[in-house]
Amino acid sequence: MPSPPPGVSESDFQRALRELEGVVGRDWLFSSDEDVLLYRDGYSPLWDEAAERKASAAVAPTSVEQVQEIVKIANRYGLPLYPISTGRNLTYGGAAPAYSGSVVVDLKRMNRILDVSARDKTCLVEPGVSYFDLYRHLRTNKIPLWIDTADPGWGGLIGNALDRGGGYTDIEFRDHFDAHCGMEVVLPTGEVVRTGMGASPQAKTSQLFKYGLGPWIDGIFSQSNFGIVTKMGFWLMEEPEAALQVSVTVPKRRDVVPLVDTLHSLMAAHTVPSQVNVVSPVMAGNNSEMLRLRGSGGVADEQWDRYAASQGGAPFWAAQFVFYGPRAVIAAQWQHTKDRLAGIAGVRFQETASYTFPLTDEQAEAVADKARYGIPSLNLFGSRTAPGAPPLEGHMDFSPMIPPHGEELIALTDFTGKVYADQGFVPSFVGGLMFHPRTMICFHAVPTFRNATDNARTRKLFETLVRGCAERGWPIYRIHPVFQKLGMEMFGFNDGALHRLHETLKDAIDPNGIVSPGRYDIWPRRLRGSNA
Amino acid sequence: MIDRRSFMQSSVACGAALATWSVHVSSRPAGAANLAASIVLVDRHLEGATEFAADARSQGLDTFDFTGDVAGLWMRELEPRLRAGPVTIAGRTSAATLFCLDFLARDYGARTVERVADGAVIWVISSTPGRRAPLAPVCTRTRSGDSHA
Repeated sequence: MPSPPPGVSESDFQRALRELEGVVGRDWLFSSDEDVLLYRDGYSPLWDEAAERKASAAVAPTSVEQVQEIVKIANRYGLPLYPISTGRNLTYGGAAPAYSGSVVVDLKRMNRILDVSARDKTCLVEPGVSYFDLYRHLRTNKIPLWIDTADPGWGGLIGNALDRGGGYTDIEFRDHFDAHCGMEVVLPTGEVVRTGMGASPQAKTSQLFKYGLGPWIDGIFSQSNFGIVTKMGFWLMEEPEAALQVSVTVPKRRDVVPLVDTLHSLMAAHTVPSQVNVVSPVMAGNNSEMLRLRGSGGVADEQWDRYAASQGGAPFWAAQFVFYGPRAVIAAQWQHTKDRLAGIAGVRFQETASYTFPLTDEQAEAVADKARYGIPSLNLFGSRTAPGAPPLEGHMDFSPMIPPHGEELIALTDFTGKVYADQGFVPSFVGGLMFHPRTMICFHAVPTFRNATDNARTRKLFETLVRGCAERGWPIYRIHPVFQKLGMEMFGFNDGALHRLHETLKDAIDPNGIVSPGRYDIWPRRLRGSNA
Repeated sequence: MIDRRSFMQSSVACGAALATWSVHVSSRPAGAANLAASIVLVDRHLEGATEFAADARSQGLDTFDFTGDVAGLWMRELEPRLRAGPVTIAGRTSAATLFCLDFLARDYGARTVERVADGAVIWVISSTPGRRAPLAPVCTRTRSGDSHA
């Protein structure tokens, strides 16, 4: 039987559990060791250590009214809650709470798709709705709309959007928080609020116009702990007539500068609509000479180019992206893109896939790069191992954000390569992913383990990367709960003024400090001091 | 170590076969013999897939193959069956696929009850009556004007 949360007596905890059981029913309160194990972070960088974040119990409501009752009980007993949507983002902490001992509020049973409008291209969903659920609903009902899915696609739309995750299709949809329109929130006091046009009870534009009237409050519910979101609207992409997936490769290291500049210009003009990946085939793998160059902290481009030439002339950089729309328009966009990039000596263009929509189930199954077509998949798992190999132990995403400038990508690669080498790790793959309109994210998969010795090394690596990248102008955009205090320290302008503002809001909105204490380093007054 | 043929011979796919499961499956949950017919998954990407699938079909087992990514099969076949009630799923896949299915199946009160490595991974995920109720009841939908919901 798990221990009660810090500061809550055993008797109060038991009384609170009985009251929670009274709200949701015996089957939906989870307080045994076996049940609570399901909410453990399987990729935790603190696995089996005293500091590992673990839940004390979990409760699974099925309605807004039940969420309100849960919040009221939590206020009575000072019970910390940790709401999760589907809890499947394993590289950012999964279902485990930010504050150990919290009661997880598992919202997976609130899994209704409340509305889909093919005409308005919108939907309204509850937090338990996964990308799988909505995709299946659209396919089954032959609704000509696409989701924009995270990858892997087993997560929840609301959970991913609230942590400001991203996807792969058109820019209007792949910033998942930006693609939302209106939300309903249970505040820590138990009150229900609707934002945007949803606050006007008769409005016909609740999922059509984001701002409503007055201050636009939605942002404070993302990457925070100011309430429990129980409904969210999203804009959906109309299924295009066709799509063309392409690859552009360039031979030399410094070619990434004009490559990225041009692609960014084309993205800003909406000529290239999809997310763009810029990866380096040359800097991938375990070749010892390549690792030596990567670990050096920066060598002349000519040295890298000589190495590339020694590897059978593999391109130094490869960019992949997709055009969507009528075939005639796609052809013009692709031709224009080639014309703009033709000035890079040795540039090569390749069409890698072409589709006409709608796809049959068999055709959808056969698509290689499913997320780019709104098809959720689990392909990412096992992509780093041979099919019969034992799985790797896990990883955290390290996600620094850089301007869309090739020289910044090179500089970050040089810096992080040396950090990995100095600390005895093989560096993560090299790539810049343009999810957002004005930045690149350079995801690294930092390994986690099931032993304390290796995890201590990995935590030191992660901390070095976070600090070092922030010092060079590349702070992270999202981070694992174990490192959220560190991450927020990198946003300390004016002696931490933003942090103080967060605390002011927290004190006003959550006076008893019961919702997700410590998430993104926002602590309630009663838990500041040693935690903050 | 269990081999493919003896695994299939002692497969859990139907109630009759369950009664003859060999003793090394000591973690068999109580009442499994009463489970309704279950299904077998085979990853075509893996060596030996054709023979394994042929064995399963020859025993009258509902057998589905896929190529690497099990997500489509999950959405179309597995999740609806788990949602409808207790079911046993067997498979010969990569470890990554088992990892995903085990994780997803937990929401339906199911667990991996058998796992052996034979080049690929051969496994059984079972949900049983008497375990705690699955987390996900059938989704309900509401209609709204021109909406399809």
